[in-house]
Amino acid sequence: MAVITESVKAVPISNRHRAVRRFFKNRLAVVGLGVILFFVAMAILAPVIAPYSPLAAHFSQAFHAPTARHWLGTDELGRDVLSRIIWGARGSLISGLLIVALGVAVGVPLGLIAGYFGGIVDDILMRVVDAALAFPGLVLALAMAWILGPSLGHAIIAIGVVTIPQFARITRGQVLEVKGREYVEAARCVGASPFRIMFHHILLNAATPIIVVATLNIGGAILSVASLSFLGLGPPPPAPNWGSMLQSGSQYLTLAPWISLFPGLAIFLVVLGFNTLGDGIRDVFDPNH
Amino acid sequence: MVLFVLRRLVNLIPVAFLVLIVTFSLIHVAPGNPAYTILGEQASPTAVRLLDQKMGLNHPLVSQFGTYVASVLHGNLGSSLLDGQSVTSLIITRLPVTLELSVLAVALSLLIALPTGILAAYRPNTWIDSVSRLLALLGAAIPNFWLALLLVYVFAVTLRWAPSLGWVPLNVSVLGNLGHLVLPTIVLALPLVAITSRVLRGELLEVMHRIYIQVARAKGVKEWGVVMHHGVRNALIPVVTVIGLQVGGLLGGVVITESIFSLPGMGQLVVNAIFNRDYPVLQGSVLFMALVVLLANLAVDLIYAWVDPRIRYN
Amino acid sequence: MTRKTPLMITAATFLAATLAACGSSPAKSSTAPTKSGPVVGGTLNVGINSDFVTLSPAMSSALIDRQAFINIFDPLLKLSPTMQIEPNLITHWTITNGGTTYTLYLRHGVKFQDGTPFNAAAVLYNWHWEMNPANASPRRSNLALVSSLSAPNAHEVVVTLKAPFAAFLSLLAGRTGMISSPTAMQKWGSSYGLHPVGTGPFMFVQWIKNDHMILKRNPNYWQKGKPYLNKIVYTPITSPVQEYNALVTGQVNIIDSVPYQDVSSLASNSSLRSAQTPGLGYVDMELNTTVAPLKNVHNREAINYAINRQALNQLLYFGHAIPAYSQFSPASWAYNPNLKIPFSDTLAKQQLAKAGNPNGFSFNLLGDNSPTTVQEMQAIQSELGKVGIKVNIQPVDFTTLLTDAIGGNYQADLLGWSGRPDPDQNSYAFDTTGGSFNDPRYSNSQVDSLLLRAREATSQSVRKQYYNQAATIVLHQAPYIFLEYTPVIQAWSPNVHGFKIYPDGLMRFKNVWK
Repeated sequence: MAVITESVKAVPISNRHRAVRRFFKNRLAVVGLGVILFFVAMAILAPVIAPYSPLAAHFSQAFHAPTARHWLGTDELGRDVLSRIIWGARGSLISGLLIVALGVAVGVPLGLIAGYFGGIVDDILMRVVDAALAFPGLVLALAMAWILGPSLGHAIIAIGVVTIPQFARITRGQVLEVKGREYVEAARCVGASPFRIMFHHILLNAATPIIVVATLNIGGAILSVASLSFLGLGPPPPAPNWGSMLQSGSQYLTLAPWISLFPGLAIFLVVLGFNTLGDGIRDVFDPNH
Repeated sequence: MVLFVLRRLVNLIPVAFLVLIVTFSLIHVAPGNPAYTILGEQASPTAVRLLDQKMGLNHPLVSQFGTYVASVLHGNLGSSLLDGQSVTSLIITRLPVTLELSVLAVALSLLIALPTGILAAYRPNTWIDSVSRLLALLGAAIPNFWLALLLVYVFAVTLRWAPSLGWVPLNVSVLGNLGHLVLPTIVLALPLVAITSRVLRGELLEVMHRIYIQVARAKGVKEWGVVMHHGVRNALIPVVTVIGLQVGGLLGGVVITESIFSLPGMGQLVVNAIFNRDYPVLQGSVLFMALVVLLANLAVDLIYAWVDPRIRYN
Repeated sequence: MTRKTPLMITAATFLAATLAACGSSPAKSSTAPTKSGPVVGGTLNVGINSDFVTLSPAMSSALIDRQAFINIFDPLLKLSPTMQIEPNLITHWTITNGGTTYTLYLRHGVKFQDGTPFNAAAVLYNWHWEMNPANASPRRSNLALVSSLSAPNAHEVVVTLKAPFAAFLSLLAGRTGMISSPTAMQKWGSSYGLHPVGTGPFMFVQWIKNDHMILKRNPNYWQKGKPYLNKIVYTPITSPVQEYNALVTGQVNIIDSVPYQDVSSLASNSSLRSAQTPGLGYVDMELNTTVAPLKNVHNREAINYAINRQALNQLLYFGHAIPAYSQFSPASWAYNPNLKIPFSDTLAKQQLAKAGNPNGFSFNLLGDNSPTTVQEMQAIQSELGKVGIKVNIQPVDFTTLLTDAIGGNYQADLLGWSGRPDPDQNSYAFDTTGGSFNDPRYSNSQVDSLLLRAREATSQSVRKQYYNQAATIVLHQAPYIFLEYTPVIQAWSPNVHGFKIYPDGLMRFKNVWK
């Protein structure tokens, strides 16, 4: 996605109203937003709307197909799949947001520093970024999550770390574009500190593309967490987690396909929601795309 | 130009070295000891100690790293702790699988992305465009392991149209080889379709707004001809770029796909090496993958620079 | 699951793999009667649940390797389908000096597949190599009691032991009794594991890791007229579901294990044949007896009572396993069907009260991260939760699991043992003080002495009494919580003839034709 998003142009924030209107004219994006809100509500209201406890196991009711009692069937321990999916929304959404937050919180300052100071600082930082981007991201995250041990927190850290270089690179590119502009020169002449110039003058003007990339990355982050969980590196059981549910259901694919079918669908919908939303936001700022 | 390539190549050295350090330290801070993997059921404290000595794992880490780097510089990637096979030969036997899978996936993705991307650009903001956009979004959002399970369930288990796993080398049976790659190729290609078709559409729109197209149109060329002749040719370059930059992502997808479909390629090699603590194999194959990604990026830059003279090799 | 080496991440499998090593009903075979006799020729495609690790018997630890060995290497002694020791390359033997001297007489006229003669010198070469610490052979511990080896002539080997050891012959039916060609061992050195040469019915051709391994007929096999098959191709398939699917779709002709959920449908499938027999292995929890709260025997005993083994059997094994209460499975002569403890929440709570924590306690349970193991850990967690014992599940990869279990860096783990024919091999190293597989660090002088006497006694009925007494103590002291004996379930297509199932789960293809 890097290529697409790097070419997003900075747009002054003043056009906010027009932007909002344009966003709501994009039907797909609005649907995406709706899907996300639906899952957010699900996550918040989990204790109220989940028909059963996500942890209550009834061995004698294992592998029951979807019925009126269990809308999405029961899993390999006789737990209600629907309730587990509803509770699982929490982990998925939170991990997606935290991963991107981590990527932004570390990547953006690094990119700012590299782009602003240039020279040897830039050289060193960018070599490190190159090295990090040279790894297949998933393999690196896999290795880190495995070293740290299976837990949602560790998966978030592992994937978050892998997204840092991406944000560093994008921010640096934006800085290089903005750096030479008059208002930055003006600020420097007035004697503003490098810190103030970086964060106040440059970052504010480079913010739009970063926001777009961040939105587009949430879906990917949720997908990565699900991948790690699918490989057994998610939160320890019995916590309801979509990727782990998919993994444990995969061994009963012929006997009880619903165990893995529905969590997969949930992942798919949430990711689709964030991608559509990100796409919409990008269109708002860069309608030509 | 030559100087630019040389400079970029020299830049690769510190990056490769960093990759080595990171891989080496990651795997060595990991809990667990390969002696246990090897001994498995038979692991006992004495047996583990003896095996550690035999494999040289009782030496300090720094000296192990030194030995490793020295042998890499001599072109020797070491050999597997599990069975003594040389890492270079392991990579060589597994590369064709991954290469074929990747090439097929890229080909399939182009086969879908080119028409949808072109159609979408030809009629922007119509239902065609919306459908193509929706397809792209769907493709990017589908979890590949889930898709793999679904495909196996539907096409291999239920319908029995395609084998569910395994690998037949090309020289044994061409049909068997392709048959085994159908499902993995689809899984790997789908996210690529999404990105490629959208980039193609965007680039096409941009190109078509340029003046020379207006001129062509003014000269009376039919609109379809404009799109195909001027637009597509110019828009393909960014597409190539995208694919080049997706090499890293492709390798990540390969890891999952090869694991699920039991394909004996690089992805499976890496995953097994991680879980078996096979240090030399892991280091060697990750280094190799990283170099492939770096070289792909370099190639992309070169193509870009070559095509667009405005970019200077500073 | 068992202490086998996982080779894949998708190795959903260990559990199922060895689980496919146990059973409730006596061997039921549905081999159709055949019209004609054996035919020479044909290729057999075999699905196995993980790839081989090494093909050198001297260096092998993984369970799966034995699937290849049993066909490439003829063991010195062989096992009958009821796990009795029978002559093979050793035609007869004598045991003298109070059980410390074994004189082994070797078959004449046998050659390795590379033409090297099979004789006493070859046997000694192998054993000396394995006993050399520098080679770090896992066989070394099997030969630890050997004080001297000699070869009075080309077909006689004299083994002197430091102490009587009743299980010695049983070792010779396993990897210690699988002799490699000394010529090949010298030729290939450390890569011999990629170029094995034995005396068995099939010889090695090619091994592409994680893809396939090919064997071909050994035309000079000492048993004239055998084997029948021209070629065997092993394909590792780490997902049990996929392995079964490969049999159903005809990609392979026979598989080494069947997912439990498919066993009942398999019986009604006319286009497949199958057999099931109790295996030698079991699944158990190991409890670290040196760390609180499981240091307290009452807490351990509470777990013992609180687990409903029958319910676990139904849930995880679809009823095809047998509840386990000792290390001796129904396939072993040491099995005691009367040894058991009841499932009772009341008794469990009494034990918790005796331990001084009537409301329960909590502990960490370590296990590998394959879906099957994770499911079993959650089932245990749910069972124990009912009496107030809180289980924190820690799924890790297999190497970490073994490292922590053997290093004593754990509270409890879910592991298992694939099982061996002699009861000594399933108990001594596990239960005696300081034993090499004694992960719970359990120590009981009475058990120590019973198991020592059992290995030194010669009469099977006397040994059985000792094992029974030891097993009773171990059950109630609960350093291990035995859960299920796992069955061996194998299935094949109807064009495979002459196949017989064994409790060790090894697929012997000498008598098979297609």
